[in-house]
Amino acid sequence: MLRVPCQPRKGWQQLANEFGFHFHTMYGQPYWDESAYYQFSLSQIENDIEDPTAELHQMCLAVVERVVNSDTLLTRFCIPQHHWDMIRDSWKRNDPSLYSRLDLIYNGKGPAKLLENNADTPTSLYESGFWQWLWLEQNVENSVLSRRADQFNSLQEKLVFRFKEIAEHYRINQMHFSCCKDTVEDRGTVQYLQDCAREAGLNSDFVFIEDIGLADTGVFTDLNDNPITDCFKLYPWEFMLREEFGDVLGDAGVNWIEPAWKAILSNKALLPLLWEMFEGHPNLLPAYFADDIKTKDISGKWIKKPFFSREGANISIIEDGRESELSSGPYGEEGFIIQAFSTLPIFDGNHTLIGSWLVDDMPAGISVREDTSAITQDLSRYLPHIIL
Amino acid sequence: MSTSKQTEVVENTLSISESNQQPRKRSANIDLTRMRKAFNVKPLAIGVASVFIAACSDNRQDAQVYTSIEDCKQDLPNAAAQCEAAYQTALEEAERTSPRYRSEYDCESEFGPNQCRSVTNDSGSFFMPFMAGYMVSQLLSPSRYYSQPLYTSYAYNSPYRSRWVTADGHVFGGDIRNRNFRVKPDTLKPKPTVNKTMSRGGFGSSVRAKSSWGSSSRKGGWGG
Repeated sequence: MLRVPCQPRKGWQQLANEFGFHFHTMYGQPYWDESAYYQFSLSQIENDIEDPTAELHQMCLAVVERVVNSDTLLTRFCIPQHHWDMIRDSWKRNDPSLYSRLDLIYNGKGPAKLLENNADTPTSLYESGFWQWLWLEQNVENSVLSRRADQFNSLQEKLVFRFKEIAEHYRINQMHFSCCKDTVEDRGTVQYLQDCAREAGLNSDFVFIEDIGLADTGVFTDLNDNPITDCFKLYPWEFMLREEFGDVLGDAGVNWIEPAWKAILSNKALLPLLWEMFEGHPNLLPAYFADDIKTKDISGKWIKKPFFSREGANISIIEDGRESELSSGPYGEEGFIIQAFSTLPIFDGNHTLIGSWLVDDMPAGISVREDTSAITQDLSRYLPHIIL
Repeated sequence: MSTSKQTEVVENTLSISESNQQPRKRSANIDLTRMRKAFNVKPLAIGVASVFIAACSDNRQDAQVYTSIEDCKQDLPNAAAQCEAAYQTALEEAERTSPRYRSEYDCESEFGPNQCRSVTNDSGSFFMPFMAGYMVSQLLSPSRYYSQPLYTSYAYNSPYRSRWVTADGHVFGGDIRNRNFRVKPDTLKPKPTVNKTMSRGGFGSSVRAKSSWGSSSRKGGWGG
């Protein structure tokens, strides 16, 4: 695993514009960064990332199986009680999932460690599935990179295939897509999924989360008053369950992508459960519920995170029992977990994080993000990668 | 018409990479023509429909239209019970999903004189067209059959005149003498009850609440 400086393609910003990649620069900061790339060996990809990703995912599903069957654990996961049946049913019916991203700490040797599972609303999908693919194709064509250079990235192919399966499962040829207003990045991610759905033969309609309506008949509607029967939403389940329309979710009869059982996977309570069930697994970091550490040995350094959080908010570090806050934020009312501190590897002064993608249960590629900060990943940049 | 267009698109596909001996770990072909956007992300997928219809015409299934239980029984003498059940299903569906009009005049101008009935239920009083036939598929399948009401119009100016139309306005080809169709699965999906949106904004409040916090983060989205 190497970080290799590289000349950016001439006029790539223009190309980004033509392809509708509108968030390569955000808030005046570069986000897409092709002044360097990461190089992996095939065995690093296959043995250290791809296989563990498949295995970690299965372990996570084992946690879901256990949680849906336990009132105690559903309570522990802060799932509102009136939604238990909906989540259980969605799991028992095998409601199909589309994709997720495991964040891994990996430095090129030794086992990758699972930092978090973004199972419900992962972004950086377009950059991964399409834009870094195009970067490689063009650099190979222009002899900047070896013709033998490959990339761990079958995301787009697998997403299209998965949409076909989902369309067959629900017997549909139309689906709604939804995300929040005022975010170019989320809208771009959802547009990409609409593109993939279209390649799978699905027609798509878009509605913003805030615009979703409730009809007198109990179904959700878009702005044309058309019913929403099948919907991809880039909006966290933990929010949906607690909002006004959350109360009528059960009657609205929507086939959601991601399905409701993902509420369990996207919850950081997943991490202590994984450790409890698979303690000592080489790809796991020790983790506990924060209110459960009296009986545990927590010498050394730990990170404390809320069950639900975004953007690295509300994180503290605990060192030999002393807690100090690293970032503030609006999360944490539901509870916290602690996870053994493990440093992100540093390449040329950057802290590097691997995002390992799954489409349904199949490993489908990686994304590499760099940050100047060791923990919060607040200002991360996206760098392409190759296999050589 | 769209066949030639599609061929053209496929030929335009940029296929730069040569085939390696080893299976590649990345997507083999991405059609760049289709990934190219105008200069803005369009909020709605407009203009996709025609391509789409041409592209997925192969998973159709057979469906028949009957105008009465007798009509059905004559066609399927061994399925009398199913014929009756399917008719009942269609009637119930009609009650739930058929187009509704405020006045008899409005309804008749679409469906023709004496083609509408008055209905009063929880949602109020209105007029709806009589069910003129019912479409069934897989009637002999033990697990699930499909049945839905169809309508037709006797009004001169109506696009539905002498044609079969579903509750959500899908018009079938040919006139009402046409009884055998090959339809896409979604044509047979139960139609939504007619909706009137009562409120909006029941999702998204967490975003407003959490967004008001701080500004250190550059990320506005709720993906992760």
